[in-house]
Formats: sequence, C-alpha cells, structure tokens
Amino acid sequence: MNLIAMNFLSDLGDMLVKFGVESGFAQFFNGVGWKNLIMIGVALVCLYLAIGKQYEPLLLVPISIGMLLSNLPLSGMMNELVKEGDTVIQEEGLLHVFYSLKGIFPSLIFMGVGAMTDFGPLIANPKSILLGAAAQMGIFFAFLGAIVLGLAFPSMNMTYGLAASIGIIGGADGPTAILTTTKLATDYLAPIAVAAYSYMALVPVIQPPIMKALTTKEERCIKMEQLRPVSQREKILFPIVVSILVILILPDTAPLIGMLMFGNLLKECLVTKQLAETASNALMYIITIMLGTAVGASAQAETFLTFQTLGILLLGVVAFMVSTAGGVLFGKIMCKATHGKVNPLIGAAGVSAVPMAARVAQKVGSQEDPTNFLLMHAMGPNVAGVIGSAIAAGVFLKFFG
Amino acid sequence: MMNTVVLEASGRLADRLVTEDGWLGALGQGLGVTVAGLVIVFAALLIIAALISVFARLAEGKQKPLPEIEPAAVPEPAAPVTQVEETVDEEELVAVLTAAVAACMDRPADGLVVRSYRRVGGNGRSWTGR
Repeated sequence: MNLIAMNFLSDLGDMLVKFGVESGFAQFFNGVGWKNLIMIGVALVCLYLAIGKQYEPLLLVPISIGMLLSNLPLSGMMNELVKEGDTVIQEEGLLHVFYSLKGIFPSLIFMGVGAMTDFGPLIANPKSILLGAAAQMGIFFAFLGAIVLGLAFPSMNMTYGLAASIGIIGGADGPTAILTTTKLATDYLAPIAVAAYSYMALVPVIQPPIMKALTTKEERCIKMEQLRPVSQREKILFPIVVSILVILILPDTAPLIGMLMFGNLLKECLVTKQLAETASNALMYIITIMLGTAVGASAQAETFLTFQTLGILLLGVVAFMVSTAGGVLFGKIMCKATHGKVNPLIGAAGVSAVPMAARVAQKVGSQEDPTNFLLMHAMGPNVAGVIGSAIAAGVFLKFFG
Repeated sequence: MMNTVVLEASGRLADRLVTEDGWLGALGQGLGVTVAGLVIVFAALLIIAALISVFARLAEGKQKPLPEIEPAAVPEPAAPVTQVEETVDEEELVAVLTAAVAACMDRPADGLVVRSYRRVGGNGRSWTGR
C-alpha cells in the first residue's frame, strides 16, 4: 500500500515537472527565450495601436496576431516542413504555409486596388502624373541614405537589396514594399512591412507640417479649374494602354502593374462587375488576413530586435518626408510653369497612400480657404503615385533581383 | 546608361567595403541606380501622360456635350426637406454640391446652405464615383 502511494506521488511529481518544463512558460527562461517575451510585448503594443488608436487596423490586427502566435514558444505556427526521405519529421506550421505564398499576395492585392481605383482624375489632367513621379524621390533618397548608413556601420550588414527595400517604404505603398522585400531582403519583411504600414497610417501627421513649411499661404489658396469629364472609352483604354506600355519598358513591373491594371479593367469595362466586386472585396480581405498573419509571423526576435530595425524605422520616415517634400516642390514648379493654375499642395498626394494622402491635401487646402476643393485634383497625383512607386520597385528589381 | 551600373545580386556592402570597390565604389553604384531610377520613373510616367493627352484629344472630337448641372440638384432654400437617400460620405457630397452651386451661380459658397438633395434619374453615374 505504501509502495503504491509512493510510486503514485513520485510519478505525479515527475509528470508535473515534465508538464512545467515542456510548457511555453519554461521556454522563456531557456536560452534566448526571453527574446520571444519581448516580441510578444511588441505584438501587444501593435495590437493596442491597431485597436486603441485605429492605425490601419485591417492590417495591423492580423500582423500583430501573426507576431503573437509565432512567438508563443512551441506553438509551431512558423515551423518549416522537415523531411527525411519520405518521412515527415516536422509538420509545416499554418502560418509558414501562408508565408510560403507571400510572393503572390502583393499582386492579388494590387488587383483589388485596381478594382477600387478611379483613374478618371488622372486621365482628365495628365500633367498631374508628373507629381506622382516627383513624390518618388524619397525612395531613392532613403536608398542612398541606407547605403551610407551601411557603410558607416558595417555591423548593419546592409545589402543593396535591403537598401532598396527600405527606400520603397517612401513610396507609401504597402503591397509594393512587401513585393520588393520578399524578392530582395526576405529576412526583413516584418520590420519593413510594419514600418511601411505604420507610416502610411501616420500620413495625416507626417505630411501637413512639411506641406505648410514649403508653401506660402497664397499658394495654398489657389483654386484649380474643374476637371473635364472623362468618357468610359478612355477609362477602358487606360488600363490596357498603360499595362502594355509600362511592362514593355520595365518587364519587372508586370506582377504589380499588370494586376493593378487588370483589376481596373474589371471595374471600368462594366461587363465584369462580379469579378471586380470579388477582387476588391472578398478576395482582398482573404489575402489581407493571410498576408498580414504571415508577415507578422515572420517577425522573429533574431531579425526584428536588431539594430537594423531601428535603421529601417528611421530611414522609412525620412523616405516618407522626402517624398512629400519632392511632390510639393515639384508642385511649386508646376505652379510657376502654369502661372498659378496648380495648387502645390496636391503634389504631396503623389506619395501613394490612396486615398489618405489626397484627403490630407484637401484638408490642408481647406484650412486656408474652406471653399477650396482639392480632393479630386489630388486624386490624380495620388493614383499616379501608385504607378510611380511600382515603377521604382521595378527598377530596383531589375538591378538587384 | 544602364549598362554602366553592373551589380552583383544582393552583394553585401559591408564586404565590398573592404574589397575591390571601397567606399566610393559602393556610393557611386548607389548614385548610379538612383539617377537611372529617377530617370526611368519620370520617363515612363511622362510617356503615359503624353499618351493620355493623345487619347483625350481623340475623345474630345466625339464627346457629346454633357448636360449642365441638373436643376433639381439645386434646391430652393424654402423647399421642404426631402428624404436623404444615401448616407455614405454625406458631408463630402454636401461640400461638392455647395461648390457646384457656387460655381454655377457665381456666388461665394459661404452664402449657400444645402438643405437637402435628391438624385434625379438613374443613369448609373453615381456622384460618389464607385
């Protein structure tokens, strides 16, 4: 009787110890496990920003949850498939399955963006396209900045690919940044995506001071002529012509521009309403969930809690600011060239971030003169910015891909 | 122009720094890509702008003149409040209507108040664009 009780107690003890040691809690004290704890903290902060502050919640909630789940020790969500011959030694984690598809998500999102975008204001005022080009200056400025930083601090392990991916943050275009990073600097997908989407959410904070500093009150008060109406035929021709042209110039942009214009054609041709509806709603949200959790899950302590992440965050915001300044300054040039017919504020909308950047231009303009309606004028550079940053990404992919 | 910029795929700058290229080499390559990139972005968008201007001119020839602003969109100040059909983006719509009326009547917008609006006819061209 005594023996049974003793065996029972010692077995129970062993089992409890085993249970404790194999639980996730114990892993935090095992080797570099504490880093996971910090990453969980980062995930919770991101969740707070998404839910409490409503910073891009549709993206930041999936990203934070991906980060949380993959950093809970032993969850195995990001496990790679390990095989020995035909026997599976380690099953592939769910989030790793999503992660392995990351290359196609940006293109599918671009299709959805195309199906939601009205290129009418751009077709009505083709000159505004140039503002979308000028606002890509920040991309190249930050690219150079990253190279200089990499030369100054060799411990950053800067590569051309990473420098290019950091620069693309200045394009204010999430899918483009993700596509570029998956091809040129895969390890840094998480910090770059987090930086890109956080700064996009901060457009209304980052942009106005720069816009006001670079323009005079008179310039901000300029009222622009009403846009001409655009025929349906032009709207149908636009995506077809642009895809042929841009992809011939830069074949590397095909996955982005091709799908963007395909989505837009679905919307404008008026005979594929169901497809346009699916691309811009259901499919877009499905992709957002998978891409968000995959990006978040790729935020592992080894690559996220590093000096590079700080550099990425810093250069990202510089890229954004220079892009805004580039757009506004080019707007001023156009203002002079057209004898005051262009309000330079719409240049700031040349960073993509559709339609937030255009709304910021409208808001800053209406602060000076409540009867000034810049929104539609700002949409031209805004959607041109999407094309511009995709082309800039194509340039980087061509050189470093 | 592009042939002068030859780069190894994701060559590490830190490594290059101590090897053949050195500081200036890496910086030079970066500058090369920057200049090439800006030129390509501007050139591509310029070509698109030029093409659009061309088919704008083609379209102009065929375009029928659009009807002027529909009178029903301009409510009499004393008109009874009609039902508001769309609730989305109402503020924006009111702002646009105010601007349209102001432009049409050549009067400053701060003297105008949009009390109600109602869509006339259903030709499918929504004001809100989508």
